[in-house]
Amino acid sequence: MTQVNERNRYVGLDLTNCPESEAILEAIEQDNENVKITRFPGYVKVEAINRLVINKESVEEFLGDDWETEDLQLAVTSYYGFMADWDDEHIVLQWDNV
Amino acid sequence: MAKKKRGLKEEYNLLTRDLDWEPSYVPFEEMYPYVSFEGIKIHNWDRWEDPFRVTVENYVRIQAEKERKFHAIRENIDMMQSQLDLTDARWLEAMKLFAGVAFNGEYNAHRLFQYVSRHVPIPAIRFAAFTQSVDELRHVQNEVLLFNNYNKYFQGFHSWKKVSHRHWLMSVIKSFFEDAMTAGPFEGLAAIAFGFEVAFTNILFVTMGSTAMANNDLCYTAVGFTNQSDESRHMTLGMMAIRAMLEEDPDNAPIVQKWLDKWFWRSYRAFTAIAYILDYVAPKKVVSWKEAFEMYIEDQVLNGLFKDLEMFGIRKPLYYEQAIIEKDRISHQAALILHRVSHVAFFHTFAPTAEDQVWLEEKYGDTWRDVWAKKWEQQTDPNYERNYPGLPMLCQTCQYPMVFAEPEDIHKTAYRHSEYEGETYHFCSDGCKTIFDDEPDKYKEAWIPAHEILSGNCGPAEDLLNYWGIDPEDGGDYYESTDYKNFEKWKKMRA
Repeated sequence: MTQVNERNRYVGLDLTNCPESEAILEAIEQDNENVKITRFPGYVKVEAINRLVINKESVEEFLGDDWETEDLQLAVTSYYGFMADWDDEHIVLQWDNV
Repeated sequence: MAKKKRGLKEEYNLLTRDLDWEPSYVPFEEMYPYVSFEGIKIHNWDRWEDPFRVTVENYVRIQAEKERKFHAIRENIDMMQSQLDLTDARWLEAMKLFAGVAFNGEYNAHRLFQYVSRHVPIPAIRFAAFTQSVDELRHVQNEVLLFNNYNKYFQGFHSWKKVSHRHWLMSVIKSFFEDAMTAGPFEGLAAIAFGFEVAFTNILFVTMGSTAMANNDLCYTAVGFTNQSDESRHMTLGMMAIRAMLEEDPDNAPIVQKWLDKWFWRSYRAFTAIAYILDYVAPKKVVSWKEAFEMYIEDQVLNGLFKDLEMFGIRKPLYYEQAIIEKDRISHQAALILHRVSHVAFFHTFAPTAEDQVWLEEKYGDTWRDVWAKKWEQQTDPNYERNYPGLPMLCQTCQYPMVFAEPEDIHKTAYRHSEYEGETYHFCSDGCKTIFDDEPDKYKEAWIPAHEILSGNCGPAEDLLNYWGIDPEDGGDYYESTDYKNFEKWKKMRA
């Protein structure tokens, strides 16, 4: 397990309030370690240390419906980190220089 | 939904990136005439991919869905008289400023990305820039349409075109985009896609969108979130462009570093108005400028992104330390100067109320008590002349009034100057002076409003308000305005 300290760098997403975002949040919490969630009026910030994965299968499980990874575009309002991979099954956000 | 035959990556490569072709009737240099003069070296144009894998098909589908959501909200706003749900009409003073700044800004971004899309020969970047240029047009159209609703009830929304093109304060943002548009295509890309989008637009659309929601402004919330949903794609373009330039050739690093230095500072200064909106104008405040700056600029960009760029020999942008020092200052400096020029503004200003002051003290602590509270005491003293005589002196580079303090002395206004071809040019900061000194032939041509007025280029002085597109009642104090009185009256009628 990654040690949490102030030298860690987070990657993260800002998701606008909508049902899909809640399913994405739950999927992120399930599939990543040290997930930090902060709620603001209208949106929610979700962060993880250095790397964050979103799995299509997990999102569909929590949403109870079909979900394509490209539909993230309808929920995400901002992010930080590099989009290291984005295919039909998962999306990976990370820093390379860790 | 039926499973697609091809995967996202294959679909993208076939339908977007690989549709690019090698010219055979004309040489490459003739097809891309601006490709080499900036000194950027690219060896393999084709290997870059857009991580979002945008194809025409999914772009159209996703944008149509965003539009459907947006217009449903827009129609509701009109029908439900949502303007009466606002916490206070004072919030709209921020929206007037937004209209002046953003409508034309978005349109210029549309033009800039047409230019990038035409002239940068990396297929992935060309297509991403093309979709961005369409996005920016969508933004300005939606904004104009939506704000039309405010124009039916409130002052200051009637002439956004004149205001954004001519008003003296709007030369800040106009010159910002025109600076980017008159640079080479790689610099234009670095300027807006990276400096502006990756670093700063979060605060404009996410933080300010969130603040709008806290103040029950459905209009800006709708605009903010629909725009920002495109913004994450735009940020990806910025990051892809920077990585492509840095990874293709080590010789590109010093050129890119210079652009990051310049456009970090240009974007940062341009965002001073947003600091004012978050800390002052919002009747109900969510996050201070200082907190937003720490979250989005310090944590995400300076300590996040720039650490990844170290691998390519890139350091943090020049004068970033000064921006950090100024996080306690710029909203107050902006609020004070705007309060002094409200007779020549297209929005109302005000001194912070008792309630505002409690919040400002909570967020800014010692600097509020020691400096800004005292400045407001002076500014609101009945024996003190509230209005500034004429127009304030503007910085030759960023065109903001020269109100920023010395980094090491909060009580002393910073003045910098350079001599060039026998003329003296004035700057608000080391950042702005460095930008001028690097390209004096460009910035000596800056259209400085006060100079142009005195040269007779803005019509007769007594007709200036009309030239700027404002009515005398658009400015002045908010708490004495018709907007304030009407809003109080309408709220009572509705109750």
